[in-house]
Amino acid sequence: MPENIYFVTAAYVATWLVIIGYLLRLRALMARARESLAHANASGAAS
Amino acid sequence: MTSVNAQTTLQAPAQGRSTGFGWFAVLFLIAAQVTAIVISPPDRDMGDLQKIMYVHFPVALNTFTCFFVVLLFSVRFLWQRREQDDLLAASAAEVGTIMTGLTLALGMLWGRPAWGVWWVWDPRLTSTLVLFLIFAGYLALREFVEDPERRGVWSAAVGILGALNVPIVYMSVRWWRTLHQVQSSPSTVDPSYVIGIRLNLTAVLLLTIFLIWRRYEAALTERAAEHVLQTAALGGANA
Repeated sequence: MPENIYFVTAAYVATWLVIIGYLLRLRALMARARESLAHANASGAAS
Repeated sequence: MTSVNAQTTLQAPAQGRSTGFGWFAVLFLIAAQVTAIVISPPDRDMGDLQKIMYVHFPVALNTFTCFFVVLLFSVRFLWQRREQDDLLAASAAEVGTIMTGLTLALGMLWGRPAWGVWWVWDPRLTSTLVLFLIFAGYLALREFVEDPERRGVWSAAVGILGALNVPIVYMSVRWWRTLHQVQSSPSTVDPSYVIGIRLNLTAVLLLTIFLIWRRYEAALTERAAEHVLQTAALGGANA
């Protein structure tokens, strides 16, 4: 069944799209959280 | 009623502690997939379709790891009311939900050529979909509740309920034998496939640990920022 190779390829592509997509989301979340913390520390120190 | 114990203990994690582990997990997964694909021969009946098992099975099994973490830390949150436990449970729930969605998608990519259908209301597929929907609801619930204590308690209740569905998903293929195959073991799988499956199980486990850890770090940093602002506001109000 040579057409099976398309399903196999789709499975691996889907897996890596999910992994890379979630890693990018985590990076964005982390950057936003660090920015919030830096801002909060600056505000806290100012008050 | 016991209040959430977070005001004095929440601290942002040190920067970059998990990055090295993350790189190791990703490289290990690439190596495991390449090794499994290269060393395993085509299956007699299914041909190359068998190679989907190196992603579908490890991802599916590690969703159980995520929901076990949810169960463990949800119970601990209800017991001790430490906000860190709630954040860790929520991090594992998010990773677990994404992995359950991926499991369903990979299963469909398997089902179409193997069974001739993308989807069938088989007990294993249906119970996995229910698991996915419960934890999608869990994540939606967290977005709608602002008070950390109520959010933690309600999330823990849904998280425990959802995690209790895991044994049903696992046993569904034995209790109601329909289309999905029963669990395999090294004794029922050809030895040429076992090493690839074990390598990928380990690799996906490492990646799962990293993703939960990283999500927890982000959640902790975000909450630490909120606590700094709250403390500053309280200090200003008391001055």
